[in-house]
Amino acid sequence: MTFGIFVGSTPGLTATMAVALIIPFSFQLEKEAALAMVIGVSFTAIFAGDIPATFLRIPGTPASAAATLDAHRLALEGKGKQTLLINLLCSTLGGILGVVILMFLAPQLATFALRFGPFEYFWLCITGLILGVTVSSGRRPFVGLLAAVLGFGFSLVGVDPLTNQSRFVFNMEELSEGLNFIPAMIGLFGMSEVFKSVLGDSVDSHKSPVPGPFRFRSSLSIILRHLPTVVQSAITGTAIGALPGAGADIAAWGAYGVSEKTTVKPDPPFGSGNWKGVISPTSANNSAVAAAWIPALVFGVPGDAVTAIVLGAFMVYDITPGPALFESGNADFIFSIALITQVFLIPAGILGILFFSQIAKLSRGIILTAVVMFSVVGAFAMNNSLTDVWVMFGFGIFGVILERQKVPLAPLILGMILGPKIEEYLRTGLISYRGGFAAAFTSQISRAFVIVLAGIVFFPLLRVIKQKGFK
Amino acid sequence: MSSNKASLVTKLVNASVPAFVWLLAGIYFLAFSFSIRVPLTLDKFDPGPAFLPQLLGGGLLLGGLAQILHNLLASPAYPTDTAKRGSAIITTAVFGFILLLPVLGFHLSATIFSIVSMVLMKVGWLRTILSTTIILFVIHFVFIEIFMIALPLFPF
Repeated sequence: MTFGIFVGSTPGLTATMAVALIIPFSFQLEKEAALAMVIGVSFTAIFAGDIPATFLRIPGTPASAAATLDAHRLALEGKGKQTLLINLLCSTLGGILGVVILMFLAPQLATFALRFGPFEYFWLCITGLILGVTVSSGRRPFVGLLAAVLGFGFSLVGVDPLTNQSRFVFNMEELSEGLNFIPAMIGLFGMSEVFKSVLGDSVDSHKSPVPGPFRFRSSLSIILRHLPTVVQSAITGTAIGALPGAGADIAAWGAYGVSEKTTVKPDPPFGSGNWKGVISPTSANNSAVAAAWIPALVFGVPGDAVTAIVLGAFMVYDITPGPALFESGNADFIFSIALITQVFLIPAGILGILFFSQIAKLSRGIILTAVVMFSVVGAFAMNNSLTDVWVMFGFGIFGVILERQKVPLAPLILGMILGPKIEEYLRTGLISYRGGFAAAFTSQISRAFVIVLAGIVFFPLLRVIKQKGFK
Repeated sequence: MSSNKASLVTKLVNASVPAFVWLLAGIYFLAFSFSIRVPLTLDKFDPGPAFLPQLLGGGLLLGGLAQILHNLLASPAYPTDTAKRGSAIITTAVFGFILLLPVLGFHLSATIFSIVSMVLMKVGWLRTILSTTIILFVIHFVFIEIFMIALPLFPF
C-alpha cells in the first residue's frame, strides 16, 4: 500500500502503472498474499492521486482531476491536511460501499451492463462530458464547451482505431501514437502552474498551499453533514465503474457533476473550495475501482485497465473468472481482501499525507523545481518517449495562454479522455445499425440519457431566462 | 472619421484575441481533415476517419465567430498585465532541460536545471545543492533502480 501511495502521488504514474509494476513481485508470493498486494495497490494509488492535486494542483492520477480545483483552493485556505483527511475517509467509505454493492449485486449489475450497446455507451460518454463541462466551466459554459471540443480534436491526432488511417500526423512517427492525455494533463494543470508561479522578483509573493492541522472532529462533522453526498456519489461511481471501459476517472467526473446539479445554491461555488466538490469525486472513484471488478469477476471481461492487467495475472494465481469463481469461494476471498484494504487505506493514507505535508512546507522554489523534474520523469516513463515530455511542455504553455483568456482547463482534458470513446462508440453503433442514427434513441437506456442531457442543457437556460424575465 | 475607423479596428482585434485559439484550431482541423485518406475497405455505414475532424473543426470555427460577436456586443475587459520576466526565464529553463535530456542524459541535465531553477527562484546555495542531491537520488533510486525506467543516459 505504501508503494501505491508513492506511485499514485507522482504525476505521470497512474494506478494502472502501479499495478503493472507490482504484478511481477506478486508472483513470488502465495496466491492470497499476491491478490492482497495487487488489490491494495490499486485502491491506494487512486486515493494517493489526490495528494499532489491538493498541494500542487497536479492530479496524481486522472481520477483525481475532478477534485483538483476545490481541493487546491481549500489547501490555499490552510486546510490542506484536513482536505486530504476528508478525501481519505470518503475514499474509504466509497470503497466500502462499492465493495458491499459488489458482493450483493455483482451478477445483477453485470446483467444490466450487458444491455449497454455502442449507442448506450455513446450517450453515457456524452452525458459525462456535458456534465463535466457544465460543472467545471462555472459561468462560462460556452467557452468550456469549446475547450472540450478542442480537447476532443487533440485526441484525434494519431491513428484512427477503426480504419488505421493516420490523422494529423504529418509523417512524424512520434505523433502516430497520438497525444497522450496524461502528459497533457500534467502540462495543463502542473507545468502551467509552475510557469505562472514565478511572478515578479519574489516567489514568496505567490500564495502557497498550507497543510494546516488535521482537525479530526471538524472533518468528521463535515463528512456526516454530507453523508447523503457520499452515498449518492458511491452509488454513481459504482454504476459507472461497473460498465466495462468506463473507469474511475469518468465515475469521478460523473459524481462531481451529479453533486453539483443536485446542490441548490452551492456556497462557495463548485471549483472554489466547496467540500462537496472534494467529497463527491473521491467517494466515487474508489467505489468505481471496486465496481470495475464486477464484469471482471462475473464474465472475465475487464472493467478497466487495472482489472485487465489483474485478469492476466489470475492465470498465474490459478483463478478462473466466471460463475465457478463464486461457487469455489474465491470470490468471497476477493471481497474480503477488498474490504480489509479499505480499512488499511486509512493508516497508509495518513502516513502519506503526513509525509507529503512536510514536503509542502519546503520553499516554493524547491517544490516547483522538484515538480518539474518529477513531471518530466513521469511523462517520459509513460512510453519511454521524449515526445510525451514535449507534449507536456507544450500543454503547459498552452495552459498559461488559456488561463489568461479565462478558459477553464478541465473540459479540455475531459474532451481528450472521452473523445476517442465517443468516436469509437458512435461509429461502431452506426456500423452495427447500418447507418441508422435513429437507433441511438430507441432503447430505454438511451432515451434516459437523452432526457438527462436535455435537462442538464436546458434547465440552466430556463433558469436564466426566468431570472432575467422575458424582454 | 479615421479615428472612428481605428477604434473599430481596435475593438475588432480586442474582441478576436480571446477567440483566436478556437479560430486557429478550427481552421487547422477543417483544412487538414480533407487530406485524411478514406480507405477503400471502409464500411459503407462508417462515416469515416475524416467525419469528426470536419465536424469539430466546423464547430470550433463557428464557436470562435460566435465568441467574437459576443465580445463585440458585450466588450468584456481583457487582461492587461504582461507576462513577467521570471515566468519567461523559468519557461526557458524547462525548455532547455528537455532539450538537453537526450544530449547530456537525465542526471546531468537535471542537475543543471535544478541548480539554475532554484537559484533563479532565490533558494540559497546550500539548500540548492542539498535539495538537488536528494531529488536526484530519489528519482534514480525509485525510477531507475526499482521501476527500471530507462531514462536517457549520458552518451559518453
